[in-house]
Amino acid sequence: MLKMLILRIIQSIPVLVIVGAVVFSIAVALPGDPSLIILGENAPEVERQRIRLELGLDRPVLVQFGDWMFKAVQGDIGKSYKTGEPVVSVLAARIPVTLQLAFLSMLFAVVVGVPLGMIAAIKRNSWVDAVVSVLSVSALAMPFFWVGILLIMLFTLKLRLLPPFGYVPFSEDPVQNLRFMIMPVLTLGSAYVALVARQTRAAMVQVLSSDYIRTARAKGASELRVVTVHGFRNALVAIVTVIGLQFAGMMGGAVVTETVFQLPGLGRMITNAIFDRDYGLMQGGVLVVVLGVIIVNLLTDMAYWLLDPRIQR
Amino acid sequence: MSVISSKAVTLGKAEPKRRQNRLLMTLRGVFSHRLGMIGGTVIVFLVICALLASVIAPYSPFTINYTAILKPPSLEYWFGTDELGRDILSRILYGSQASLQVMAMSIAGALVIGSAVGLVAGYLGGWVDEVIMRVVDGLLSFPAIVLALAIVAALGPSLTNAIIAIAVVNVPDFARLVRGQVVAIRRYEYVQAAKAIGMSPARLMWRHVWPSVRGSVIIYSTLKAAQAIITESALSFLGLGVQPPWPTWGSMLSTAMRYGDSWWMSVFPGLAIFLTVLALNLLGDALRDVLDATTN
Amino acid sequence: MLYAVPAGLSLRGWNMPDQFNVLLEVRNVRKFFGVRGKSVLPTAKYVQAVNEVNFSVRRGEVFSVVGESGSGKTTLGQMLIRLLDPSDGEIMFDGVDLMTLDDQQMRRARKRMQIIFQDPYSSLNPYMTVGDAIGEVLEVHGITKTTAERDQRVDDLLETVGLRSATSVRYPHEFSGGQRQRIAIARAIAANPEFLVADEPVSALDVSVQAQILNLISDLRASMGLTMVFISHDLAVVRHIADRVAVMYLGRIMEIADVDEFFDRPLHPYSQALLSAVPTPDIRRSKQRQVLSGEIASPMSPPSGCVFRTRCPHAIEACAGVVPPLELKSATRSSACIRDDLLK
Repeated sequence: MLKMLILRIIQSIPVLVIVGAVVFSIAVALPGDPSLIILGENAPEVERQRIRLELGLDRPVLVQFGDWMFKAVQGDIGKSYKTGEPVVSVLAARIPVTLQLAFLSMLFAVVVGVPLGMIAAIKRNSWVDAVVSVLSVSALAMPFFWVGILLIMLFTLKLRLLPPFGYVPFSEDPVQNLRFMIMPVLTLGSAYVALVARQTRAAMVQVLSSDYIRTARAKGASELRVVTVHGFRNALVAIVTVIGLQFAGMMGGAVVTETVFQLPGLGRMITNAIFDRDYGLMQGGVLVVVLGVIIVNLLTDMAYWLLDPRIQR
Repeated sequence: MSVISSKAVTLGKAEPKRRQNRLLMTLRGVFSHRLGMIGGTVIVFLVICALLASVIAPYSPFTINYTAILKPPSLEYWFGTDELGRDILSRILYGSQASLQVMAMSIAGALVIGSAVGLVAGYLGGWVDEVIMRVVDGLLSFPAIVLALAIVAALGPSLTNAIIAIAVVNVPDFARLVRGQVVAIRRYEYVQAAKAIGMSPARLMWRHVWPSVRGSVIIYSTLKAAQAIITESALSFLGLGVQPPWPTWGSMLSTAMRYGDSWWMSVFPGLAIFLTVLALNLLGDALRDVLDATTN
Repeated sequence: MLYAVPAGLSLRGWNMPDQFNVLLEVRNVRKFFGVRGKSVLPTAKYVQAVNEVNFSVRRGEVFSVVGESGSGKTTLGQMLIRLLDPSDGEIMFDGVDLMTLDDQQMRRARKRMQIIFQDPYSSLNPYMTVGDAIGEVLEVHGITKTTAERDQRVDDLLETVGLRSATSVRYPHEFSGGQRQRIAIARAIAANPEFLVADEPVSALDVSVQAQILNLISDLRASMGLTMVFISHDLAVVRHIADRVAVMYLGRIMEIADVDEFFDRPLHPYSQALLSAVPTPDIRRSKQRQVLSGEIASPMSPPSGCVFRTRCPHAIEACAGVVPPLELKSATRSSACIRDDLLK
């Protein structure tokens, strides 16, 4: 187990280097002179020269890359071009928002998706199964921002139940925080409800047609008991599969969702940084998102090893 | 299984076998697949709409009309008008051009480049494979929209750059798919036999490896095309896609956010995206069913 | 080609391995496959599929390699025509080490050597018509210039292997196993090769079809003057077709002998065990049937010394010490066993 973890971490190293290279080269390719972005349009040439030296832009690109990677490994990913704040401290404020959004969305997806998948599996080929599958096919075809707009139209404009945009940290006002979070979570969670329901159904159908379940049934166990007891582990595997395969997608969804609801998370920060041409910040944001994806994939593999005795060695 | 249907099966087997066209078989399969048929019809309809937008659109998508601002759907304006009095239906029709163009060209590009990369990695193996797959793994760790955003930010927002960005985002997916299949197929003796004949690696890949991979690549492109539609509209929604005044579904929704009371402004463009994506997904699923059935 | 043997001439009874009659010489060939370890660092674990193999094949003869599955005979066969590269050693084809050829030269050389695979279901591309599969060989080597010429030649080849020429427009899935193997043979002989590796060409077929295909191969060998390496686990088949026999066990050759000698009086204990396992009408011999004890050892950790010693009824302590070299025991046969006392 520990060996596997170490092996996976070693395997991730080249991936991390490549990710670093991609992020760095995007920043290099970006238009505009950083010194102008930092100092404003009419900065004197002397000042601009100073900034360029400070950022090390006079050095060969490869040296810049090596230096950047070296610092990044130590946790220093530069400063915001706009505010001069260290990127790390900006990120520290943004990450919890995105994490909360992702966590609640996944929770929502599991709480709704697993029962839906189970019901569909038990009553397979019935109208319930059909409805669940139509719902999931539809949910997967709706872009997040459209779902978000429709929700705002319904809950804010029609029913006047929820505030449309904004954010309060959970630590300051938990109730208000959750009220702000409901619509984003519904938005981002909708697609994952569908995915979780699908995976759960597939896993359960497999379980229900296996021999040991037939035995359990023959012994007189009720269908519900059979499904909840024996299906539990398979449902867990299904959930882990969705999280593992879709976490990158979920981070992408968070970018869009945060933009719609103006949540001050990582995704909104990245899009804003692009418009502000604050490339230092953008670089850091993208790097953190991708790092998150890699870590989650690592954890997913670990979870697989724990859940599936066949993979264990 | 009833007596009649089992009889039909035996009859079918007894038919004289002739040289069968796989494309024809696949098409026949899709035609008999109800959901696939629906998906295919919607796609064909959309393509026709996009091609004939200038003919069938009732109004110009650009002309501002201050006398008809934010009009709800009516006989005159079927889908209503936007904040500048432009006809939503016409704008959706013209918007389909951008969406379908970006989708088709980016997926075609990703398919060609990704498949080539996957073929090379899978066939050559060794360190070439190792290096290519690590790069693919790295790129796949980026959320599609984040990578696309970054690329568009670097290149500047435009139709061409949206195509480039979405193509780049999809290359690693195709490369990984094709590479996996090639590694599986490489072991088949007919590939060994082809090598034994003494043909060039290029010919071997084209004649002996690619045909077995082709089917799954086509299914995959359909599903990826659906995602490309979403990514394109998300780019437009965030203001980094095709630039105004040219209408796109995503940018129409982005404007609609500011006019929440005019529900038609957000419902119809959203429906257009939804139906396109749904149709592509259905078609992709149908193709998978059909190809699974014909290869087994 | 000055010394090429006239077609069909049997070489049985040629005692000396004549320098000029050798088409293929295998020298100290090894093949190791790396095994991906589950541990953190890629440890050096290898499967020794083929180890220190030496033999030569004379022009026009059928040299048969026999052994159980896992003995490395298929790996060896693939190396002979360089479908796999040996880890070590030389494969001299007509005096040239195949490993010294570059890609282009190797592709040209492939015109002279071909292979028939065991499984006629996976050796034909399901997406290509029979005509295209065979015609491709002709195109690749520029044997035919026009399509008409190509089609004519394909039809001829199909007739040679006993199929109707109309089959050329059909796909492999429309044929039975035996027919497919005929197609595979047609493809193998299309470029008029001198050398053919047949890797268990009949073992995937129904018994009733096996004889037909074997006869076809025999006929072709005679009419084309083919030199063949015939790989098989089926001793009855080998006796029918081979001129000489090499016995492999765990990647090493145990014995090489002329076919009659081999079946009359096998030298190596492993050969003896193999032959005694074959049901034989010979009453005298069927009594002393000898059953091998134990499992075939893992190729990942073969026994020290003689690889066969763990199952050998005659094993002594010294067998664990050194790997017995393949030595000439008489003018026509060699064996890898230190127990010369058994030869008496």
